[in-house]
Amino acid sequence: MITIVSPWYGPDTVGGAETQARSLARALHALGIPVQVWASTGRDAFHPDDTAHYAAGVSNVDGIPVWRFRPDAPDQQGVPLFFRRHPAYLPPLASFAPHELQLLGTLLSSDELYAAIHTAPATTRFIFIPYPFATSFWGARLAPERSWLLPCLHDEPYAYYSTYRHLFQTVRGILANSYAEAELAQRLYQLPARRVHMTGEGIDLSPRGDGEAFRRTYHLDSADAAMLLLYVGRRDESKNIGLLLTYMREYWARRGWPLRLLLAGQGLLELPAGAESLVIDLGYLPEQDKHHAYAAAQVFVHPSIYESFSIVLMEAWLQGTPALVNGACAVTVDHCRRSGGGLIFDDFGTFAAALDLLLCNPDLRTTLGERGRAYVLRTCNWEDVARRTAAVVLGET
Amino acid sequence: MPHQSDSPDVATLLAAVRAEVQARRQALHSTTSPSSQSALELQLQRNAEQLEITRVISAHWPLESRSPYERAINLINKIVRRALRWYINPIVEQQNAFNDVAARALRLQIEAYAELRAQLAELDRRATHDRDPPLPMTIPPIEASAPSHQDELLPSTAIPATTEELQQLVRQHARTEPDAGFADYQLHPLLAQLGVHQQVNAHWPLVGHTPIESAAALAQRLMRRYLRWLINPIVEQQNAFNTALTQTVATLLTADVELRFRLARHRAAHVRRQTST
Repeated sequence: MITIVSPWYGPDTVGGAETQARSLARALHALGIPVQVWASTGRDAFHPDDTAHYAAGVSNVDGIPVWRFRPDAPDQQGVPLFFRRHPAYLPPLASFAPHELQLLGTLLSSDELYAAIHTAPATTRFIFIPYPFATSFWGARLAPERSWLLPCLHDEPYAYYSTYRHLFQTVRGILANSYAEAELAQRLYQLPARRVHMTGEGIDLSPRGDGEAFRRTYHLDSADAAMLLLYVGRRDESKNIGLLLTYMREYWARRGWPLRLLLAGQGLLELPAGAESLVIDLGYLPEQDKHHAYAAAQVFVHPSIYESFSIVLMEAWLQGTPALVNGACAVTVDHCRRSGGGLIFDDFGTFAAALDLLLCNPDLRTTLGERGRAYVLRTCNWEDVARRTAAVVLGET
Repeated sequence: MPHQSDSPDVATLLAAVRAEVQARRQALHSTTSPSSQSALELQLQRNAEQLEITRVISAHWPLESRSPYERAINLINKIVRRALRWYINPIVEQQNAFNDVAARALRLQIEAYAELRAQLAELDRRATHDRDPPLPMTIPPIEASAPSHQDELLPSTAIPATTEELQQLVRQHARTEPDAGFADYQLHPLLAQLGVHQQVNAHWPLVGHTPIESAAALAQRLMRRYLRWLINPIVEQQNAFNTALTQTVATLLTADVELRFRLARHRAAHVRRQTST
């Protein structure tokens, strides 16, 4: 039995790791592999106060058993009370900086969940997702030899905390979403290659976008000759939206071409006054509209540097849209190099030059889009991802 | 909370730095043609220098004495200052941390203003020269409404097979792209830092690990409790100013970004007009 442990899980839950957990569970279930999910009663990271969104206890989502646990507050040091009652499972607390434990203490935690992991049969294999959460850090302490971490790791300040180094070094293995993420985990935590497995991530390969439909729906009919550049993802500073707006503003001013930058996704974004001539803020798009938007765009622009896989990049490529990615993001750069589906910018000069090439060369756009699409079809099949994951988690003795 | 040593050289060093900055300013002004910079730009430059000169606060200025009586008083003052440095220095260090970020933020805003003025001046210059040649671009100018007629720039048969080859093309094109200043973008992280440093705290934990340290910490806590009538109002007033300054910088940044977008629209429209004639 594979048990996926995620802080949040369910039909109303949004978030990259949570969506990945659900897709992986469905893919494992479809292969006939016994799988269950343990999560909290909370909704998701975007609704931190909604801690009782789902009923506690066992339910069923997509035909998969889901056991939900009530959240609990830890003690002042950030340690769950379960571990105070079972001190044998405590990690070396003195080796962690106080603020690192306190950070864990601010994140969702559940003593009921830890008790369930503690008493789970020895045949249960756990996949904890994602790495920064208390459910992963404390949960994996209870059965490290049967725990795999699906970290969704980024090269971010938290990744350098000694608490997370301890987590990565004590679990049985790491399941990486991309080669660049696997390399980062090995480098940051000095892990041997045999403990880091590139199982990958999948996406839904069935959507077909219709660019014309998007232009009609959003009143960008063909008479509007503007070239469309699209960003999809969280619309906040963590995804480098400020850099994208700054570079696009200058590029637009220098070239004078009719351009529209479309922004779609979650998060609060206060567009500067005066930006409306260039930027169209679409907010959170319905799923099919999102695929239409990918198909309508001439270029998918991805300025983020914190990615472990980048679903949106794969979705854009699936619709045959070439990408422009930030050279500071090892993951998206690696995808571009492996697929040949995009260009890379390091500064404004390369941003402008890459956009010039893409916007002025339809053949180049088509070629890069086709290369990206072929890469996605080759590597992002959930069934293959589930097989690789099961082989690692159930296959190792 | 780190404690600074009671070095009498701090004030001397600061005075030397200030003198050097002023000397450089005088030298610069004597060699700069008054007509090459506007009066406002010169004033902004002086303001930036003044910020640099005054941003560091020292609690250890020289105590000068001319008579035996003054020397005796100053000796007492030095003893009191040394005895209180555990309390005063950390407060001063926190304020200096804020001042450092604030001065950098204001200098960047001065740079941002200069960038905007330069863009506006360029736009004015082009608007008054109808017969200017087309603007230099990384690729030949194209019809604004139909950039696709540049298809032959990279025919399908010439599309490189690898990302690395394409990136070489990108880098080659990028070399011809004029530099761009983004002072407004550089200000964003400083705004976050201002938020972090704007509240000076006069009540950090005072604890000891040994009995002697614990006794010293207890004495300091009692002393701090007594002196809070004097120190707390000063810190609160300073914090109110720090908060107001942070909010002002944030509002100025918002205004700056708005102006940049409006100016960008005019610049884009001008390029369109130029390339369509």
